[in-house]
Amino acid sequence: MTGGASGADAPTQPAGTGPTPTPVLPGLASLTALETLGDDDAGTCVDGVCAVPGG
Amino acid sequence: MSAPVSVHVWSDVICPWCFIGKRRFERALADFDGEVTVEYHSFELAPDTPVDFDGSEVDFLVDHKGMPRAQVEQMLAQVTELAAAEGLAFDFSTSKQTKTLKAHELLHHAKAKGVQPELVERLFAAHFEQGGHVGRDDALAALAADVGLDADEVRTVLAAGTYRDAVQADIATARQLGIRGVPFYVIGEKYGISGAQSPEVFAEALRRAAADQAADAEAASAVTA
Repeated sequence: MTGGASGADAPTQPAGTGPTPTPVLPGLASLTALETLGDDDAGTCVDGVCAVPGG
Repeated sequence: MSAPVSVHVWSDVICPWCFIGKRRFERALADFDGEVTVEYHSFELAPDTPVDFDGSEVDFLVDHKGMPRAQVEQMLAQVTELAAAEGLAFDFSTSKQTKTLKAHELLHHAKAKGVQPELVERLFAAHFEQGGHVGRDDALAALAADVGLDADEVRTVLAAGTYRDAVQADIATARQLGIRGVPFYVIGEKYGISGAQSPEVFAEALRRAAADQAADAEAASAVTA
């Protein structure tokens, strides 16, 4: 597995001023454009609560 | 040769399903015959959490979420058991609830330094298995040093808020896309996976994304031939 990004977040400005964030998935407007895989009832954390599926 | 399959993961350091999902995804990755890039993005699961909460995970969910104590204890016991099946030794009796914005800033710094995957793993282990604090600058600097980052530089970027905008941009993107829970995976920019799914689901997504890219590449070369 090759991890990490291309270093697009590398700071090029003085400390105290952050780098301009690189847009993430600019071609994706919403999740409805994705094909969803897997179960609807998988373990997910929402609003600080991590319920157990089927529990 | 096809380009690597991209995997974008929205995750939080204090999210147990995110750690469990990471292991299940890694099992799929181990069997995948192809190149993959993985990038983690910031998501604050519990923005109202203070940096220092005096109490256990159970206390936090009872006090801040109003959940019945017995229900919380049962839920955490079940999550602990499911984590153990993935080789993870969760210990909610020692885990420290904290605000994770600083951890996310550090993860952006780690990405710039090329060690984000290592730091993701280090922070998860610290929080869930080792009773480590993942919300204070000094604790984060020590954890960062464990993956080869310069602790002094880490303290500087955290104090300066160098990556604050990057973290907020990730959070805004999640909101804009409609991501409400974590972990959430976008694979090959085509497939969405919500939650800690089975390795088989992740494997299917990787396979299909790679096949899509190969088909696209073949179609493109046919056009130019």
